[in-house]
Amino acid sequence: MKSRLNSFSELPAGFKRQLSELLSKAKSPHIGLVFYKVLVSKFTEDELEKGLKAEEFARKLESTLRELENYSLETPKLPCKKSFELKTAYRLAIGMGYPSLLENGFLFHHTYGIPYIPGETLKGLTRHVLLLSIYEGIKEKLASTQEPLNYLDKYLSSKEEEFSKNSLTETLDRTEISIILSDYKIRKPHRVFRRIFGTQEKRGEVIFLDAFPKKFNPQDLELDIMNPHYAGYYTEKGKNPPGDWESPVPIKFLTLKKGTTFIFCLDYEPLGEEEPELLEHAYNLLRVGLENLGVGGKKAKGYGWFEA
Amino acid sequence: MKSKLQEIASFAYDCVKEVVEVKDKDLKEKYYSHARELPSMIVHNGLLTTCAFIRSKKNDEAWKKIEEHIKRYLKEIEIKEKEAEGKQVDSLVKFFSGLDLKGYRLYTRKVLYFAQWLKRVAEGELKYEEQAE
Repeated sequence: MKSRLNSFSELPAGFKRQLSELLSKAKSPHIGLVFYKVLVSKFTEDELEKGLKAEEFARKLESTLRELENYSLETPKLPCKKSFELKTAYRLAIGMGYPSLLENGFLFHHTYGIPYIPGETLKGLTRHVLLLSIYEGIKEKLASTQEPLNYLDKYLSSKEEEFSKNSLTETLDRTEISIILSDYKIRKPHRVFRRIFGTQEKRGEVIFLDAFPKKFNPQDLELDIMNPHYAGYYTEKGKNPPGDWESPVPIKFLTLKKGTTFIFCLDYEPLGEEEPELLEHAYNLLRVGLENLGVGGKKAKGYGWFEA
Repeated sequence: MKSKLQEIASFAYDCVKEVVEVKDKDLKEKYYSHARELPSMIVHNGLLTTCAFIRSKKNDEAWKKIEEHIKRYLKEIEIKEKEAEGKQVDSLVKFFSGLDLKGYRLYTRKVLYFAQWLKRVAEGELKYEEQAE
């Protein structure tokens, strides 16, 4: 660390040159910083002034990633009650909504600079699986309600008072539902739901930790491409017909390669009771979600799915 | 006497007002959405990258307008007296990359502050426009 600080003061004047100097000196730079903030320093001022095409930026990103040394970061074993590993069945595109010069962003951990899947994403996914399963189990009961899924969602996290008054509670108390896309079954699913994910009054009893790749190497990042052929048709909201005379528009975006192993961790909420059954439920639900629904962007195209 | 905060706020108001008076509806909509994403862009991508991004969108009139507003903000509010020292803001990219690290961080904060005001005012003024139609 000390040597880096020394070299910092020896840097030439001008912020952009300082940045690029720093990048060339660092042995294992923070990829998130490189991607979002530092890469721009690899271009001359005139190039930037003229206006950078996303394409040029992508090319520079590719060559910079290749230049980086083959360093491998390993996630240490995390102390948690339940952890398991799954690997990506296809590329993972997460955090595409963040702004970047490439048009599409990518999620890097703020401190460690490696790709990861945030805990809240995993919790949301798990919650969605259970919500859909409960809905499937009592579909007939909800047939007369408008927006049944929304209704069910509100009911499940409502305050204790409203919850016990609702007629659904009694029905669900007698029900065992099977989880969608699996053989797993849960009894009294509404009570499990409230305990795992929490309600308006009480926080959930299971913690979903961020999932990190078991090993990460800058070479694991791959540039992918989407190529809309009928840009005019989409941007003008259907005013123009989708015609084959339009040119395709290649758009590059960053992904994590197929076959990256992630470590997922679940634990109990520190002040709650430790009930193994709850953790087991959460684990099974999360697995169903990861293997069948996926995380991140472009899920319909198969991105972000996991396999054992 | 106006406080610094009032000065920036009223400057941002003038900038947005200028857009409100434009007839082009498309420009207004785009300016509104760009002004809203500008602060998060600066935080996430850094000031220089953001400016490079704006430059790369030179076919987009709304981005041009925003660039012009940032330039004007720097000229009129922030570096009135410094221009005598030879600092020109004809090009944001050149101006920012010429700064040292300390200056860059300072100007990031200043521009970010202005961008936040721009966002706030645009949300108020231009949203109102949209609903009235």
